[in-house]
Amino acid sequence: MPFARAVGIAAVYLLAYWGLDWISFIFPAKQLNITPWNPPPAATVVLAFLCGWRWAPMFFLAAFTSNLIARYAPTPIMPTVIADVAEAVIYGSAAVALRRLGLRADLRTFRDVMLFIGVTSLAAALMAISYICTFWAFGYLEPGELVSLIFEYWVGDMIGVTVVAPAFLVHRRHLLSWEWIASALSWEHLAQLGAVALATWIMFFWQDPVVGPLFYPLFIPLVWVAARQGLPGTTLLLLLMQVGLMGTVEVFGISELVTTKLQYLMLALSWTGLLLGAVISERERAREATQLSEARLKSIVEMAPDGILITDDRGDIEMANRGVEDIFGTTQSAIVGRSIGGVLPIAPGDKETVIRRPDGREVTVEAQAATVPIGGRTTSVIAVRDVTARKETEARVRQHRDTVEQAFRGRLTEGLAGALAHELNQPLSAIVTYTGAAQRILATVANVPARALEQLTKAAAQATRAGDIIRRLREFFQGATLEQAPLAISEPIRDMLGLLRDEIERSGTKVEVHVPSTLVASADRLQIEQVLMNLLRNSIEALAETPRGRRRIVVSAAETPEGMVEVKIADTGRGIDPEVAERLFDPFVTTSATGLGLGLTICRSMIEAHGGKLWADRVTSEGAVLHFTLPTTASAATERLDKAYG
Amino acid sequence: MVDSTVFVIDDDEAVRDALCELFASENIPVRAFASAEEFLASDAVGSPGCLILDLMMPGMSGVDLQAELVRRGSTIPIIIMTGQGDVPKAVTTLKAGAFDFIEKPFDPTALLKVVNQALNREGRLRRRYAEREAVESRLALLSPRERQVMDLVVAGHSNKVIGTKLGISVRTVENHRAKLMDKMRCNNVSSLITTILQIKSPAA
Repeated sequence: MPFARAVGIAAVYLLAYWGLDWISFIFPAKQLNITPWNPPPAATVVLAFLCGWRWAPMFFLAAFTSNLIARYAPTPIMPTVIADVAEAVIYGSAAVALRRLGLRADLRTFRDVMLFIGVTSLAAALMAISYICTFWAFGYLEPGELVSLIFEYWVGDMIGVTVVAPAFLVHRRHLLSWEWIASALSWEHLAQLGAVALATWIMFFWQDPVVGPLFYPLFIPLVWVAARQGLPGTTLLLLLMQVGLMGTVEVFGISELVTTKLQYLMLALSWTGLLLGAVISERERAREATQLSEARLKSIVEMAPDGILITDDRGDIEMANRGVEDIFGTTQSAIVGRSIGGVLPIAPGDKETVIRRPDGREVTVEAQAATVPIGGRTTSVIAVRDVTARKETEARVRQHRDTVEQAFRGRLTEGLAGALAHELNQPLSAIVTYTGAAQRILATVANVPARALEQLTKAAAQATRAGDIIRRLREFFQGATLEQAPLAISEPIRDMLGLLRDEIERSGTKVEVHVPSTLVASADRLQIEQVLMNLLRNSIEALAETPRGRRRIVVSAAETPEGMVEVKIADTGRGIDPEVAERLFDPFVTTSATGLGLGLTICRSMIEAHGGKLWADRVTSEGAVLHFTLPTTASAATERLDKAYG
Repeated sequence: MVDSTVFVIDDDEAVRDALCELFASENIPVRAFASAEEFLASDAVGSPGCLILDLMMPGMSGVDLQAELVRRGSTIPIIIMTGQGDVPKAVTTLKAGAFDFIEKPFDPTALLKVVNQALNREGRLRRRYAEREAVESRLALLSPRERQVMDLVVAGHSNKVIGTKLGISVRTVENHRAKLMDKMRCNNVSSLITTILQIKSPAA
């Protein structure tokens, strides 16, 4: 503690002690300076409680000097010194004991007040016994008067400590704050003061100042203040009453006997007030805490992104948050009170439902309910989430995927027809040619039955017919034309990876994409999407035997020196079987148990139709790498086609 | 004169074999190759005959082979065999100088007809080429004076006019004329004119 501060505290303490002693020094009993109320120990209790034991010498100093300064009738020196030491020790110990017992300085709770009253009562009793017995031991008192004097002393100290210490402790932080004093000036406070004044007047001046039943009107303002202002108000009021009573006693010369009786009553009034104030304050604080936590919960519910509905045990809606307004397109008041079934028609076991808003829009919502028993009632909390946008996105993705797959199935039939035509034309050509050769050989031989030659002709005609059928089949499945347009190659790559996200995630594959968004090819978007879809699917399938942690696909793209866009898809899968590698792009060559072996054939024909190339890297154990190129502009495409075909 | 041969290039063994049988039945010499690479590696390149070429083959395609042959200056007629649906490709090969194309499966008679046309043209071309070469070699034997005399004879001048133009005697003209007719293996003026015109006309 800084020295200046310590000096300040000491000065304030001494002044308070002397001041309190001086103001309360009335009717000193029997030259022993036992007064009807003795507040200076309150200063000691406060300082000891706030600052601790090490100030103990101060306690003694204050008590001793006060005898000389504040009291006009000094007591014999020896017993006085002993009594002052006793005061310092007893009240200092009491305050430190309160600290140890966990008393809070602002006497927050009922327990604090009880503790304070109990410990100070005990301390005051010890003090009274010590003081009176000391003076008795020095021969100033007769044994016969000891008990009544002890009691009188006790009441004086007790009322002093009880009225002053709590008021100071509770208000110590804002004692010198003008704002607080200003805020305390209200009509209600003035009315309360008026009531105190009136009660005091009735007590003293209604009849002769005989304290008896007329004391009780003082309880009325006390209860009023305690109920309205709690402990803080009560402590101030008690201090005011005490000072007021003593002032009145002094000014109007009320008899000592009446004053002493008054102090007994005042002590009872103080305890009542403090306990009542403590209870009220505690209630008030609890109520505020509940309100605060309710407000917090409410704001959390209000601010929640989902709609939240709370229903009672009959299923009627008790509360709806702002999210509900957004989702249902109506106001909270239009929803509260209605039955949940009417607002959110959802089949048991279902998580989703479609609701029709007042503006006609249909919204798909997902709902989750939890049932909470609160105070013997069953409350349901239902969280509602608008999933329309998600549903729409899902539908769009599904549709896009369907388009690509549909288109590829079309390609597949076309490719199948083409591949079949090619494969069947070879044997058919051979049949027709063999037959022709046989006819020619037989024509040079004599005596060949005409029917044999005729049947050879028929056989050739049938083979030709088979060729015609295949031709027609192929023409029937002839695919769409190529529509080349500028295409940022990163877009179909991103889209196809998006469509395949489920497969990618399920297989735990890591996908890396290194594709500059500035790379533009001249291509038919749907066809490139089909090619990408095929190649990526092949990669994902090829990764099935790779350990999960090592499953990786790298998609990259760059411009080649020839001015083509080259896309590269590399995976860490099983690679390409060397046996298959040679004929990878031939029809009906496959490593997959379910595939037809046409995917890569068709991809290659689509890429070649663009004027690009599709090829696989030489086989490595690292997995497969497939490349395809696309022209960057339409003219480049034509140029390449022209070069290829002369 | 070497016999013209039909060279069949197709990756399908049955087709190769059947075509060989077909041409054999017509006594046309035939050789078959399973790929363009095999053909290019053989001594067949530059031999007289014609090429029957499948468009769709693994490795070097028909189109690539055609381009390669053009690059090497070969004039061998190429008949393209296409699968169905390859017609646009076949057309580009025609533009690049292919003799004809036929779609699989083809009528053997039609194929034979096309092959014969190709062989005929090739034979004709080759014959004319050989004749021209012979005339040019004979022309090379002439002395400058004999060449001058020949040009004037072909232009239709009499010995006398030739003598005057060249400033030599008619007798000398007659001597030159006899020698050059002998060297050119011509009996009379009209056959000389025919021979000379032959090398001046375009090859086709």
